[in-house]
Amino acid sequence: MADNARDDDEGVLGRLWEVAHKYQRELARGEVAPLSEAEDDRRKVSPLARKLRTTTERTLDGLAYRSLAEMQVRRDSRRLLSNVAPPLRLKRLGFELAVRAKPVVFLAGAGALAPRGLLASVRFEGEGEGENPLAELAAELDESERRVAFRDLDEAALERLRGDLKRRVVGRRFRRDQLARELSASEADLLSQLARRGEVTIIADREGNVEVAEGRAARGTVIAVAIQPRPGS
Amino acid sequence: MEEREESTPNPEADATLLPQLVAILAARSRDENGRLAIGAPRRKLLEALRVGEEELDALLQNLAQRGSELGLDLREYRKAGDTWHCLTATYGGPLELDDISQGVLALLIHLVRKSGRRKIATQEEVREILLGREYLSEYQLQTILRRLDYLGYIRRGRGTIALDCRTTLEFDEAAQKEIAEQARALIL
Repeated sequence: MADNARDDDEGVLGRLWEVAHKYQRELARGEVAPLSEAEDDRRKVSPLARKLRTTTERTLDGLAYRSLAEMQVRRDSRRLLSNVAPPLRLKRLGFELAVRAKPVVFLAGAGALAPRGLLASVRFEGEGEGENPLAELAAELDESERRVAFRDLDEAALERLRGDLKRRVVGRRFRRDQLARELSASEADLLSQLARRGEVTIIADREGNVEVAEGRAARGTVIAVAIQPRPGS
Repeated sequence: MEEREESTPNPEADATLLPQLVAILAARSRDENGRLAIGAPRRKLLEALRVGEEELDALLQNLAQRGSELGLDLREYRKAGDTWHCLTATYGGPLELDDISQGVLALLIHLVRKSGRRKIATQEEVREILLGREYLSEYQLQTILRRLDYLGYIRRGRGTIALDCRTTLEFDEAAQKEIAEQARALIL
């Protein structure tokens, strides 16, 4: 009688173990069990509820039902998802990611990411440049303007710089190396912008001379949109 | 009480240094390789604030305490052989990415985790999933990958994609695991 009871116990434990682990395995692999198969397994587990005695059996019973329920949820969501357009599924996944994020905090705005203020200059003035430790470095950086720091430029200041540059170069003819010597890197950049906007035309002839003319080029003239003076040339 | 005094040796100095420290740690820049750098390396903090190692530790500890009251976490990570510090939100916040890019990042997290110790996803498998099943066009995918790379979430190699430190900072291990599960359920 006792042996029968023990056999029965082992049978309960074995069947619960079998069902629970079958579904745990399938869940881990991302598989979906067919509804009919899952229903059969549920019917197998159901009558065992009255025979549960030990804590292990009760735990396994809970695990089996939980696995069955998780499989049901997966099956339902797969069926529902099959009607959702791919971009929407990607968006929904994006939402799942966003709610779990703890983003890094930084001060808003373009900040250090945007290259700006490249044309700005701060002049070193005041008592004795020779005493200023940065003066030598500044002279080395840019003889003509003594640029040592960057700052933002507003549109009005840019326009003024463009006007100054136009007054200096428009209507003149340069040899290429002469142009490179006369313009700083930022001025060359400005000249390039002016050419792109059609405010000046840069015409190069075959002898390597460059002429800067006012306004758009006549039809058929090649427009140079960028010039690149080599440092030290 | 003694401990408290050790951690804030000079409250007056802290009052001026802490706001500076927050400004430094909330900055971001690009390194010489063009990669996004978040926060600041310890070496630079020592130089910028002109404090010693112990004083900086005390200052960081003080910031961590005050930050946690405001919903900010002081985080530490290793990059290019140096220890970096930055601030993250404790309870989430807006991301810099749009919905679709977030979805792609989630998928990449899943693929990288799936690769085990290699910790990379191949561009081929990403294309197979996202282009093959018509989630995205080639142009969209490349634009999104470029943006994720630019914002420091991923590192693109030759035919491979690895997660960069920003992803590790913003998504902890538990979050990454959940995201990977969601990606498997929704996409694969």
